[in-house]
Amino acid sequence: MKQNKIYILSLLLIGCLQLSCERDEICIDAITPHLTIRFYDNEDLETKKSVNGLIVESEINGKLDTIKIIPRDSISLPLNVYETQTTFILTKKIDETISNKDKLIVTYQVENVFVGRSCGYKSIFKNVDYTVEDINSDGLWIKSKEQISEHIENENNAHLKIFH
Amino acid sequence: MHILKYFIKAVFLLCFSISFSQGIGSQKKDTIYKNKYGLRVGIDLYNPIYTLIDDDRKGLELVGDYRISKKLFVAAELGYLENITDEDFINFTTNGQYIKAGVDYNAYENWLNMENMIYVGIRYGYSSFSQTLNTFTINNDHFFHSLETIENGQKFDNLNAHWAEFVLGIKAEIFNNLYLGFSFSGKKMISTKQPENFKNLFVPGFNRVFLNNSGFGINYTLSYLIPLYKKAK
Repeated sequence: MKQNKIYILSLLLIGCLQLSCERDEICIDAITPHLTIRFYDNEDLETKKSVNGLIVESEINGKLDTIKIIPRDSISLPLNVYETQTTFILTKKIDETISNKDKLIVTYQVENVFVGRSCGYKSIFKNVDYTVEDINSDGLWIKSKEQISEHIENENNAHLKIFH
Repeated sequence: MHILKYFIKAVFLLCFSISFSQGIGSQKKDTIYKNKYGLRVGIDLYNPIYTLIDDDRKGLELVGDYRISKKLFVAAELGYLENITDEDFINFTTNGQYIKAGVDYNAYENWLNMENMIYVGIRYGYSSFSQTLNTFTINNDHFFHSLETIENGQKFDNLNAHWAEFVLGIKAEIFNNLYLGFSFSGKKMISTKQPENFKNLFVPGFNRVFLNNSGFGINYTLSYLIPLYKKAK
């Protein structure tokens, strides 16, 4: 009987090993894509041109909050996956005291796509549409825009060109 | 790699535990020992014990084998399982039945009239099940919201899976005709009917489906041999 006890014990011991075999997958796949905007020169449509002192804000719970961006000729902005519209306030610095604010309204349909065990679901944006509006009646600094893709499904390419 | 490591450890410990069981029953008699032939039926103890510790897994598995020769046994397992998987961004319940059938080969040379087994086996497995997506979180930029968990409850019905298993196990007769067993199985998915916009990440009888479509399982079984006849070979 003593041997049997040892035998049973060793069986239970093997079972404990199972605990060491969990969570070997981490999320490395692409998740919900950002809206990528690329800025071009209004005079020379082929030349990329960064925006002087660009600040991007969006409304959260009735309050404007600044989105962290790296001010280059191309920026990535998050879209609100719980709504069908996201509004951005884009501020361009004209000189030390004057700046021009324009409003960019992005409308879309949200579709949730399964990615995998560790990433869960991501959203993609279908039938995206862009509208530019003036704020403070000081004219638009965004002279024109060009939509590159109808849907935002990944971050491989820019989705919108803005000329200024 | 984790599975391989685990496998090697399991094999090592298997050999270890067998060295203890060899000490059982060392009486001496000058008779020809006959092997018991019959139908062995039992239950898996792993799931009932697991349920006591963790409510996320509820299941029952019946096991059985029938001896066809000195070394060969036809074996089958029949079970149902309800399992909740909780990941960072998804939580889902898998519910279904499964059946496995195959053969076991006893590689252990018994002493005297002992009827212990160290065996290798193969199985074909089939499961029919459903997946219910309880909650999910859209993996996105934190700017607008802290990540929200969305209640879903969407059910994916009529799913199935076919797979192959390699089994390594031991069975020891602890009392007359009563066996305690342990086995480890490595599994490989052959085909599975996937739900739309979701994935079979857990399959009853197969357990967690790893990225390379492999899986593993553990069984502790308690079974009783219904002896039908005895044969010297």
